Amino acid sequence: MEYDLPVPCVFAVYRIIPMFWNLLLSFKKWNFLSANIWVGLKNYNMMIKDPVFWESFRNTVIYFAAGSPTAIIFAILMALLVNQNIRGRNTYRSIIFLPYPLTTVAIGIIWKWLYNEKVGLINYVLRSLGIIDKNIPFLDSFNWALPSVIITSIWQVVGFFMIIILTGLQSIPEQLYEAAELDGASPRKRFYYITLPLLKPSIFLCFIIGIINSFTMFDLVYVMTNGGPGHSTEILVSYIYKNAFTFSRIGYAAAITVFLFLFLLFITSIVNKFSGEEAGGVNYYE
Amino acid sequence: MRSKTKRNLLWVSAVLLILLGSPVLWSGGQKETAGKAAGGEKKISILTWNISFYEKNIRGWISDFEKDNPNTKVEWLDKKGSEWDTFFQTQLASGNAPDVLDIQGPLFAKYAAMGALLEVGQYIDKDAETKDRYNKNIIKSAYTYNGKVYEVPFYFAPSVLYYNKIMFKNAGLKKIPETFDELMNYAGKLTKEEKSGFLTLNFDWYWWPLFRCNGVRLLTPDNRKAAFNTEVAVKTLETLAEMTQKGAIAKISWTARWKVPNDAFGAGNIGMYYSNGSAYHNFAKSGAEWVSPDTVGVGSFPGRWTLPGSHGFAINSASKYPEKAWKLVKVITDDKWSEVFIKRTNIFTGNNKIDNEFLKSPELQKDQLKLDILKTQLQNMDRLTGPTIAQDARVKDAFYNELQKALFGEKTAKAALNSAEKAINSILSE
Amino acid sequence: MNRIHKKYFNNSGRNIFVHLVLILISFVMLVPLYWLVKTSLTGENIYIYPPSLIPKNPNLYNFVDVYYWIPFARYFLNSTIVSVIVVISNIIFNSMAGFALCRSFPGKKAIILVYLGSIMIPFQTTIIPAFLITKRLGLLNTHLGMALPLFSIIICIFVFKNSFEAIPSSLIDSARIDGLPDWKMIYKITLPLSKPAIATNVILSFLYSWNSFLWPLIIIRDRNMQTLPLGLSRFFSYFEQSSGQIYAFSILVVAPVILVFLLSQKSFIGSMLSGAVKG
Repeated sequence: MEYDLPVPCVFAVYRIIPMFWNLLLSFKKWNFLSANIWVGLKNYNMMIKDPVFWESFRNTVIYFAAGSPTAIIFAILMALLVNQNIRGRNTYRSIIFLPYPLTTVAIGIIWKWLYNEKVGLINYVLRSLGIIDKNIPFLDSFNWALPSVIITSIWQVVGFFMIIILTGLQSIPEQLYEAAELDGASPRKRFYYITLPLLKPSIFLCFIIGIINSFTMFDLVYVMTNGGPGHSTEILVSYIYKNAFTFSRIGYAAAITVFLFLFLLFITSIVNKFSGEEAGGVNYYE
Repeated sequence: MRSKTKRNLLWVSAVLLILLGSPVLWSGGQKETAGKAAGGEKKISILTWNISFYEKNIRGWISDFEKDNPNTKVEWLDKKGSEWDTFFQTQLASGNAPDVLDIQGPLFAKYAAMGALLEVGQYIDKDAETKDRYNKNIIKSAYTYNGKVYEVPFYFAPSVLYYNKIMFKNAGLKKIPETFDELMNYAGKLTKEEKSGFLTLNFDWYWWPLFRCNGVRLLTPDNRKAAFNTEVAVKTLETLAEMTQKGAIAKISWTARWKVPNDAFGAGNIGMYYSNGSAYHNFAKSGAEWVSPDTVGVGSFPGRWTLPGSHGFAINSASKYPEKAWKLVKVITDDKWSEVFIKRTNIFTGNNKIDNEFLKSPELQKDQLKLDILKTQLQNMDRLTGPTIAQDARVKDAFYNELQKALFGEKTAKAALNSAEKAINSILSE
Repeated sequence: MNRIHKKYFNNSGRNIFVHLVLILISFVMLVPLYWLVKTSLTGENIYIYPPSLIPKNPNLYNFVDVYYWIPFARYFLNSTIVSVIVVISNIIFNSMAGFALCRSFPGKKAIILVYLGSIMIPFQTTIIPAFLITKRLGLLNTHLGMALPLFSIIICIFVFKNSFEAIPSSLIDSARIDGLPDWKMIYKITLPLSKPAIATNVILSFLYSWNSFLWPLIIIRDRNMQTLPLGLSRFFSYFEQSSGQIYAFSILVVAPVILVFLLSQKSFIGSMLSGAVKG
């Protein structure tokens, strides 16, 4: 279908060529200036032995396994709420969406204070309410840092997911509900048998956005923890960036990029299978 | 699909492809932007490090330079610290990199080792005007790599220990600590509820004096191996971890960078703050009306150990006009512009004459705190520490990662230092 | 769907419950933002303890400062130009691609794979080759160069695809029998029936382009070509960073996005309520 041609042209320049460039570079040693030397599988070998790589990989998996589904579930609930015919729902929608477009740097600074162990608002409130008696060192501990960063990223992205789900909700043809109503299906049944299956494409989209978000979450990680303490909040993208531009080990960064690409492609194809192939395509009139 | 539309679309796509692809296939789509400007004019670029607030004076440098060099145009670029490296290296990869570079701290060593920088030492010595212009101490300890000088001083703000006099008074403390043990002892006394006794910056090697003041050395003198894994270092780290767990050392010491520590000290909840000599201007601005010579004091860190906090100008070795680049650096660091700089920022420029004149200037005598900060910095110029090695970022990351593990109780001090030593030796032997 | 919901759930007890839940959610979303706005108005130090709830001596100085400290109008114009290019190209390209993906044709699976695969490459890792290519194209320091990588945002293609799939095929088939060419069909039938998808496309592509940072950072050298996010560094200047101005700037940058969001909500999503989908 020729309508699909213009888009891959842009992708070819900005995505596909760079990907092959990365692949080639992953077998080389280069620092922006030196002649690049062919080193075979050395970068990959180094990667397997690098504990920080594995830690970042683990964190990335946790982020996908815990962060994305939580955000999607919240987004569905919120979308259902603001899709009803209630007063001020545009205001609610806007408020929920509001954090997403904000400059990550500003968000990072505010949340860093909210999470602060001694003077932060969250600890202040929890202690005033008597929920805790010892302050929690959210970002200043190995156990709490990753969940804290993930919570902030959910807070930021959930409104965006909600908009996607909302778009999906509104494209569900009304007749389907009318027909179900005539059949006497209860609201709960209508949700499980009509809404949820037909939201599949939107949920798939949210999952994809979750991946993209994990790339942009990199900014948040950078501002809030810079990957620390230790490497407990380091994710693969931030580790790639560090290696490429801070350590000037482009070849090594390229090897991790290739790994990340294959990993993401793998989970996407699984999710794609679950959502009925065709990137979550559904037939509304079957 | 009707064939006519189909043909049209194929046609449009083909044109798009050609439009996008042609310049890639036929090289030389655009003339090199670096180097030549229109009409046989020369063009050089200068990349500064997050000083866009200084724009008016930077324009002044450029117009002074262009007056003396009528055929050369100067392009000015400025990037924030966290993006400077990324920007510079992308330009480097494309052969577009700026000619004159303002580089922070020991980062220049990485580029010097890559062969991206000219040895400016020879220019300094050859030129009668600059031969004795710069502070020799700072050049030796902050701008020299492998025995060669790669940078001309732009400014430097050696680290100092700020302290909150109100908190000191309330804790019954009269003077600032002189040893590591005293420092820890004071930190404990100053701590209660939301207040922490001690806070340090952690970027670059700002935390390193905590070890250095106990006699620990980071690397062997030839910079080939780690030398820090000693009994004393283990004990030091154990103490630091214990004090961190107690809250006497603010945990943000180890997790936050520039803005948060400044704000935290500015909020008045920190007893002692070990930081860059220029931090004063930041915490004083963070809505802290209480900051005054009566409430904030300044002194040396135990053992007078200090980080240079330096910025210097380097010249790109791929520059087409290195002589012009050098002339620009000379203009920026001359007496006129150095004086403007130190008056505006109260930060040393490395221009001996101007720095000394400023210390004696009547306006500075009126501000006791500013004067004390600058005097303290000057006192400790013989105690600059921190390595200048090509793998600085990686070594720092490897060390700091393990350090944090020990500080937050994930590992024992001994185990952390062992693995840090192993990691650093492996990086240095690469 | 809304009409049905109305019929079934429009009892006031339930509505109050929904409002309560939404107010709670709004509260969680707004608390961090409240401090952002408060700091922008007072420039106070957030680390003061205990936290103060009410801004002391609020004023607009920080906003005025922001306006004068950087060439705000110029950056605003640049950001707007880039975003407009991005939004328009996204609607054209994505609706075309989305339309194509609703039909079956040989190589469709491969194309979907290319699209999905393209998402899996973090932009941070492609900037060097992308930069070199853009340099060859002669698009460094141009609006078009800034916009090009965002010409088609992949997720937005799927937003269109999902929406087009919901359009009854009978509608399209009858149009085809009438001899309507495909591009007219997109323009005349599928797009008008996919207003929420258009709204989402507008919001997302505008947002991505408006907040795009790393790419303009790399390809723009001319100070007159800089966009708003690049201006942020001004307020993190090594010597003079000031919380109040950082937040004031963030608010000024986010304001147009919220405006675009509200407008597209109103004109696109709002119009769905009248029931635009007619089988």
